[in-house]
Amino acid sequence: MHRMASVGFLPLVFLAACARPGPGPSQSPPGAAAVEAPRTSEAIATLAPPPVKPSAPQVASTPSVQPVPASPAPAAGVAQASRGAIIPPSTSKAASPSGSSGGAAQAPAKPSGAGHPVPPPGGKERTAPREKPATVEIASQQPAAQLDLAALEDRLRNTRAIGVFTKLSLKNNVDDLLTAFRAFYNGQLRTTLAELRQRYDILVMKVLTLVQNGDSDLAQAIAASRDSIWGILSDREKFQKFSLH
Amino acid sequence: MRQPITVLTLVMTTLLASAPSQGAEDSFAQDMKATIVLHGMPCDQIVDVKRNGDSDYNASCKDGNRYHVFVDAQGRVVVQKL
Repeated sequence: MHRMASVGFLPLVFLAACARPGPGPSQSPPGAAAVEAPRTSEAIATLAPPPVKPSAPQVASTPSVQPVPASPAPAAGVAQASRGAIIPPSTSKAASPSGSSGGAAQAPAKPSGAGHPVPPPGGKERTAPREKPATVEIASQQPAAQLDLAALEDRLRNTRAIGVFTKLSLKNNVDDLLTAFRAFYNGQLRTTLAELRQRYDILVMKVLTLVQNGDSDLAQAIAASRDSIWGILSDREKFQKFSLH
Repeated sequence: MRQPITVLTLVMTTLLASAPSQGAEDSFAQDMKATIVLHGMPCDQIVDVKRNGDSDYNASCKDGNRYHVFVDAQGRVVVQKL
């Protein structure tokens, strides 16, 4: 019986042995991919450039549009710093909803966003993508904030993380706060900016609480733009410009 | 063998068909709960929602609280405790 069993196993062993090399030759076409994989792991920078290069021309093309916003560069220093931190995430996320100028401002940010993940592997191409977005960000800081607001508004409207009633309630709260700011600047409301700041913080926290579970990207974008929005609200001129829009 | 397979298929179909509607109900209940809580009213969990009309609902919470949630003429969401 043991002999019979061993004889019975032999064909199976042969079949298994044949089956293993089988995939080997058959993998030869996929073998190319298998060979490419190590290449990518060894030198990602060599493969990464092709996708980066096409985006680089976009950056080169967009600056022609961006110099226009370069004039309003003088803005609050703190807000500028925060905006600089905001631009990459918000623009990379909200590429679709914005308008033509929004696309112009977002296109340059994409390479920067793509540049940040790339840096670890590639050392050569770090310098080129970094320099371009830096100049772009410096050139278009204030318009970027405005565009961020528009994009954030669109994303809040379109997010599925919160329902219709909740969105309407939030909109009511936002309208109330804006009315309070308007009354405050017109001298009709006797309150302090600190109290308005408190109301603003609570509202932002409500929004973040509602959004963070269902749309964490949007929550991060809102949290990142928190200070820049406050920069607009707390400045009478900026607020009036903003409310005119 | 055929009967168990058909039964299994039937069960799966029923589950798949009912999943989206239940998900929609859950999301609506979440919306109601968030709206109520946004207005500073307590509600641990929505157990029942009755539609009175367009943008007009009565919501019952698990803790026994009942609310009338509606949109007024000015477009504001109003939550009234019943």
